[in-house]
Amino acid sequence: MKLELHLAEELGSHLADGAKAVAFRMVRIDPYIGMQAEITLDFTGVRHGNSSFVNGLLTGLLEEHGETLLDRMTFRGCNPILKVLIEGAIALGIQKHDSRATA
Amino acid sequence: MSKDVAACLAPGGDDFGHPASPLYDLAAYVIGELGDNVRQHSLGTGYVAAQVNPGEAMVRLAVADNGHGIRESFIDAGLAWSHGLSDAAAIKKALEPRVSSKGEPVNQGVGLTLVTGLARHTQAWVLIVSGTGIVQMDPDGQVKESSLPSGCFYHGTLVTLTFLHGKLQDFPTLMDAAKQEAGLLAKRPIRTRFT
Repeated sequence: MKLELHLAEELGSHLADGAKAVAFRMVRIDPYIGMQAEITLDFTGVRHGNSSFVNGLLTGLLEEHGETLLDRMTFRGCNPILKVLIEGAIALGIQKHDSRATA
Repeated sequence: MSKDVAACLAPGGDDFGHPASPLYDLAAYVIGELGDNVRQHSLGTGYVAAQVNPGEAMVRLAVADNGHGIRESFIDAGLAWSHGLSDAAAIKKALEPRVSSKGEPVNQGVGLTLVTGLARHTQAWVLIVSGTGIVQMDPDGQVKESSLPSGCFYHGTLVTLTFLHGKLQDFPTLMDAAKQEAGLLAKRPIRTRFT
């Protein structure tokens, strides 16, 4: 099963609202995780994002499911700013997942 | 809102190759993060002001709200360590990574940390006022706490940043440095698939 989400179409070209990101994740991504879906987040057309949004979208996912989730996730159409923000959000999620495991 | 202010400050900067794009990205990021803080934490209304002064080659950004202030937002969130803090100490605490009154999953507590990190890497001036507290950061990154004069109280939070235009640089590099400094990047390679 494949899930492909186009963020610019659904949320706009400037993504800066962390609460909106969490709500989007819970409704549009979380239900598909358990179904082992291949997930593509398409950022084509997104000009700008901030840490609050990208962390809200990704950190909790990685914290909950760990690094193996990345085996079935693809990030498409990311500009250099989004790449830095995505890498940071993923690193934070994995850090939190690992510290959960060792706690 | 952040994109409209950024477009006004740096016309054309939404094009990545444009000379104004470093200012566009910085303004969109800073106003977006501080605006998010107002929405999530302040319980008040936010106000934004921004100015580019070509003569001085300076860019000034300010975000203020008339909410309950940083210290009170920690107390309302039930964070036990916040009770003995002064307003200035609460502001300083809010600059630390992963300190947030909202809590996960909505907030990871890195917004103000990264905004001040960006300011440090561009040798900017920062002023934060909340309640009776004042925290200032100078272009050398030195942080100084003080208080408003006796009897004065700011109901809400004010954050202002002053950047020298010439110090602005490629935004992804800047963001990477701010995240690195705050310990928010991976210490080992992670296989993220970008296409």
